[in-house]
Amino acid sequence: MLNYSVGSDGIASIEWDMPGQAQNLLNDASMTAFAKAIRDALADPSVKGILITSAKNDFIAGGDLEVLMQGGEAQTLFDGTLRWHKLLRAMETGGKPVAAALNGSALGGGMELALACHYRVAADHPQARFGFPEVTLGLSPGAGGTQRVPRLMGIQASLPLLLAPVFGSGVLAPVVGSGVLEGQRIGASAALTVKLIHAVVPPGEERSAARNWLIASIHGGVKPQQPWDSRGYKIPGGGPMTPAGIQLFTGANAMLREKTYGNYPAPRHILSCIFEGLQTDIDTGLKIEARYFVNLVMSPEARNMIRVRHFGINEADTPVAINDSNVSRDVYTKRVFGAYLAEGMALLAEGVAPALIDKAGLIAGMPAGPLAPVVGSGVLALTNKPSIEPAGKIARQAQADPGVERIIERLILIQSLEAARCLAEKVLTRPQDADVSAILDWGYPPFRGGPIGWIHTLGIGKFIADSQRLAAQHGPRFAPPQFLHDMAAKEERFYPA
Amino acid sequence: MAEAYIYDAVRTPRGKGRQGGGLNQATPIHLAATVLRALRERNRLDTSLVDDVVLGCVEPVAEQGADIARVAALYADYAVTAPGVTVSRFCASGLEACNQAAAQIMAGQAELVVGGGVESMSRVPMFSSGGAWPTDPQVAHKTYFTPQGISADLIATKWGYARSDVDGYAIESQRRAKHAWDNAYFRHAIVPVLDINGLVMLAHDEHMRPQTTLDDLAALKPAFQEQGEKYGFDSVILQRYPEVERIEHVHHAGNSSGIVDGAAAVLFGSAAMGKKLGLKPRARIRSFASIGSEPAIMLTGPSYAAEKALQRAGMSVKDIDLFELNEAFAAVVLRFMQVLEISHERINVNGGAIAMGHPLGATGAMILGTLLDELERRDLATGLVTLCVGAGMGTATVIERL
Repeated sequence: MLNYSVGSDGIASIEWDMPGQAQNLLNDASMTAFAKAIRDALADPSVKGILITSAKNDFIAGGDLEVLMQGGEAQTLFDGTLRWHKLLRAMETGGKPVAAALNGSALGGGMELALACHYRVAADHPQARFGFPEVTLGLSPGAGGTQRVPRLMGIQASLPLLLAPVFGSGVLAPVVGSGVLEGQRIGASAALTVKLIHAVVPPGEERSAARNWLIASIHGGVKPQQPWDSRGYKIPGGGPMTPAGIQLFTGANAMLREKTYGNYPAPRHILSCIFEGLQTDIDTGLKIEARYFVNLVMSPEARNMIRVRHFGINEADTPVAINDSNVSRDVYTKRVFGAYLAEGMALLAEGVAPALIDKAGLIAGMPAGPLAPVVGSGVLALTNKPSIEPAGKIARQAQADPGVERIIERLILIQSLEAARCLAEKVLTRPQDADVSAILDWGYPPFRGGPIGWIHTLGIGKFIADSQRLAAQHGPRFAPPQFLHDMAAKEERFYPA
Repeated sequence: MAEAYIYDAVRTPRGKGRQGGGLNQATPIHLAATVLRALRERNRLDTSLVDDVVLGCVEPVAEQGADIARVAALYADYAVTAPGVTVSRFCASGLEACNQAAAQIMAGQAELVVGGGVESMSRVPMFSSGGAWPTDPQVAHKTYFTPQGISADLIATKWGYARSDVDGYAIESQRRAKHAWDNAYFRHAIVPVLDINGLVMLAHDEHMRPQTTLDDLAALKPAFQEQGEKYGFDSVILQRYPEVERIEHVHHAGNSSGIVDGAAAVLFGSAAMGKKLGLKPRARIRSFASIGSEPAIMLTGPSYAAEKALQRAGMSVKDIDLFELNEAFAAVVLRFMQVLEISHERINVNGGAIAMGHPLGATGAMILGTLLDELERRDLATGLVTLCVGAGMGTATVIERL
């Protein structure tokens, strides 16, 4: 798991080397081993400095998705998160210099571990990436990333790293479907520019560079300290409640909703970790971060996004991404996405305002409203109509049209129903193919986990009840197929969790 | 229930709320103390009888922080026994302070209370106090936080007010304010702000631009378009109001309330206290009310607040002779008139904040006094004053001359 050795120079080397894996990942076994190694090194009087390295091509790739998919009880998750925080805090306040030699990519929890080191030097590999892809899985960094990154580089500079692409270089790029899934991972020189790392060296020299820094630090005799632990530390650019911070958060909140329609709790919670945590000391900030992290781990959005990603990764390893032919996938797309468009036309025929129908599709998380094809063709114009309040009566307080939630329900459920029929008719055979195809082929919202994933999220029983209610109101196109009734009767599920 | 009477109402002139404005040189404490002194001197008030000083202030930080009402009373040489409390209901703070002052008397727990407000927007700028509403990611998300200029533009969009409608309203506000000043309708209420030597800093509302024409206004760029389009706020409010296709940005500096400095104070007392002091009551409080409504559109509250206050008084819109609705944005007034079927002849008859400015925490108390002066000048009986309020609130007060 880890190769631990102490050199004659007093430097303890902790080399990550997870057996039987191409990459180092953070899971119970590796984290336990690392914690023991750190505690041993801190306790051993002959150890004067600590070097953290990797025997793989990359440093640490992040958290283990298998672990995250298991979920758990809030208290257990919270306690476990705090234990890891405590370990990293012990490492950075233990009085011994700690350096990370980043031989390749350091992502997510791997980058966070490196951030708790006093010195980070990276090999100048063109493929090496550094950053925080957690948000692309519906999660927040859970090992101090939301606290250490802004404390290191300032809040404004931290947002593109932690929230990309919402605030990244592609700020104004439309968030189309899985666009929300793309986290920003930067190269070594960019990481150096934003001060995420301290130095970049030619590949192969990173260990000696880290070792040299440790020796200098040991001989310098100055107690190693993180910036946020030093006396008189101030957040670069100021905290959240400075005039600049107020402006930044006010704008960031709006831009976040503009891009995500409020459907993705992860970027919002990341902003909250920064907003709330950076008005406190680092240890309190880490607790705040842990609370939001646990909330996200348990959220249906993260479970759906992690499940879809998990399938996507596994499928990518096999040459045929979808078991069924591309023709089947085409038929599937035409039927299910077609059902979405047809439902928009049905709403239009019922006299619902076109603007409302179209917006409901976007608020539902779809990349375009269901009327987009007709609007695009110029057949239909979306216009503002002044609303007239009945005069002379007591005017009702303004409310959003209560219809929007119902419209969203119809636009989403009709896709799930058609996808279920496609499974019943063996257009596609596996639910995961239906879900991955929907997200990749027409930008179905990842937070819902795909059309079948959404049935799973609601629960088959509730999905049937909702569909039957809609069938009674709007016709048999909402009638759930028989196999769903059968699954419900046998208490079967599409996915384990 | 005891009756609360208005015995006097004063205000400072409104100075441009920026560097170089006429009152930029005056501290907010000085503005507040100016109106408190005026109440004392005009009414030969024994301030040891004052049960409370309630002042509205929207940005109660820095020079305006730490309970400016109490400190202003001390600075104005009120008896040390006169306590003070600062209240915020955003833009209706000044009226809220008056309502709370009256409420103490109506509840039988006080005999003589000053209500009023102060805001030096030039010295303590808007948004100085921060707050969770726009900044806290969870709060902004839940409430669809939108800056009020965009809310006003949504109102114009939803009710179909074109740029020419809101600009036309603004021109009329300017015309009415000039007419009122030219004919000295405000002379009774205005207290010039003097310096330490007794020299005049400002004696006249200086924000007015009576020479403005429709063509001048037509040339102005919408003020909230960039905020809406570049920073995502149009999208935020359209997610809350999905039936609206897009926001028509029609408001700008010329048809929105001006940023100004000022203070106002209103003297409330019981009937017995009036007799004891030899003061003649000018009006009584018939009712007051505040409401909450959907916070993103934010500024439709005045009609609901007015209806609630009227209902409490057992009155209807037809029973009110004159209305004052703070001209935060032209569309707010246009909607109020449309929804409650009030003709322009009965509302904001001497102009309003578009012409003269809106010193946030003070405005409610200022326009209460303006309404009372005008009822007296026209010898009319009943008036209703109301303001739209941040986060979807509204506050209204119904008064009746004796």
